[in-house]
Amino acid sequence: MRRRLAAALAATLLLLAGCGKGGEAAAAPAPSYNDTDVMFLQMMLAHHEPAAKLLALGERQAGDPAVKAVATELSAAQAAETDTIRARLTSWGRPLVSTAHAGAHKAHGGLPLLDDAQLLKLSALTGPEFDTTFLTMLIGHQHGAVELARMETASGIDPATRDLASRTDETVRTQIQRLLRMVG
Amino acid sequence: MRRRILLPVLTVAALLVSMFLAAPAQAHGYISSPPSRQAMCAQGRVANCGDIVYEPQSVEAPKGSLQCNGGGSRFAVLNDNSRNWPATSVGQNVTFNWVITARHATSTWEYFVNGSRIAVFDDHGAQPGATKSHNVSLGGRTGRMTVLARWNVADTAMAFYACVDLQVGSGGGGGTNPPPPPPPTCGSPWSASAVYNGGAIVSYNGRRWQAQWWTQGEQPGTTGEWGVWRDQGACS
Repeated sequence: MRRRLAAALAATLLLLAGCGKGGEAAAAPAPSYNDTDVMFLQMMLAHHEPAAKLLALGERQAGDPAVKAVATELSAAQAAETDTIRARLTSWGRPLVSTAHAGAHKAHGGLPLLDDAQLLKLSALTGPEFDTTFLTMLIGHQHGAVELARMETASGIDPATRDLASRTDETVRTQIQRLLRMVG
Repeated sequence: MRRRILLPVLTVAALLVSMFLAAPAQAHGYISSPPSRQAMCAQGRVANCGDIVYEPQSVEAPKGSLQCNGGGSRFAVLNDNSRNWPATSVGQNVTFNWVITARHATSTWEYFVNGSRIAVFDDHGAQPGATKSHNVSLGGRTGRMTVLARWNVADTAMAFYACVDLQVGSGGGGGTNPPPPPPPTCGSPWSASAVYNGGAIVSYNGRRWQAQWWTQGEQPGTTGEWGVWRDQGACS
């Protein structure tokens, strides 16, 4: 089912891209990347945005220093990755935000996992209750990154982007292991 | 000419429709604490679990099953009781915490032990938040047991399944940690003139001491780590 969705999104992007480009596309050499690569990078940016807010909240409000340390560490790693992704999309002349994301959120039940209302609810908590809820939200959010990465490694073609995806798959699953041990 | 325009438009429309149809299956989640079997696999506490380590949130199958994998074709490892799933020590009231990766409209959350439903929470089709917790009473059951949880999606035929292995004490503790053991009771105060055989218990300086062999006139705490009196900690 997920593969069908990814294929549908990719095909939609392809069609939309085809509409916009017009005649000049025919003259250009075949690009070294495909629409999955573009979609993966755009969706990772969209994925990092609410995570940045969540991690900032964790850095500020976590009770346990170990939880605070996790928030700081992930926040730094994510900021560096965001820069890399932006630079690549810009060098390809592709937008940083795709119109396909609205559909993607619909596909995930109509609401993004971490909307402002959820973050506001979290910010009202303190102590161990905050820490557990923060970690649990973070785990759920990070599973989304693994899903995106595995979509890219299945059908992306740009070597650097595929490499980013396989590293994301590895590092995020290691993070999830660690986070699960902290809440379990 | 018209046909050339119409075809792509229809294709886009068809793709959009398939996106919306694909939507309901994207609801995902599992119990992170106490750790469910898929959480044990995803955190590496149980090895060789197969594909479940990539997506512990995807144990999805038609509603109504009492199997840990929901009776689907994937993740049969979750049904394998010979895997020595670690059991988490808990009291009579357990808080089950769900990791959610997609907030799908929910009919009910159900909890079972040995096929008996011990708790149900009706969300009447509401969408959950980014996390979900339920406090469940185990109804006096004690010992080792497997709790099966079902998250029933409101507008599809599917549910998400999670089995949690527990070691249940009789206490009323609400958390996932066992209550700390009470301090040992003190024995009679030590007497310099009394004769103590091996195994005898006395109290001295607010601590409990056990004689390792026959002794008389040896003051507890002065005989060293390997001496006759073994320190058993503070007592009351």
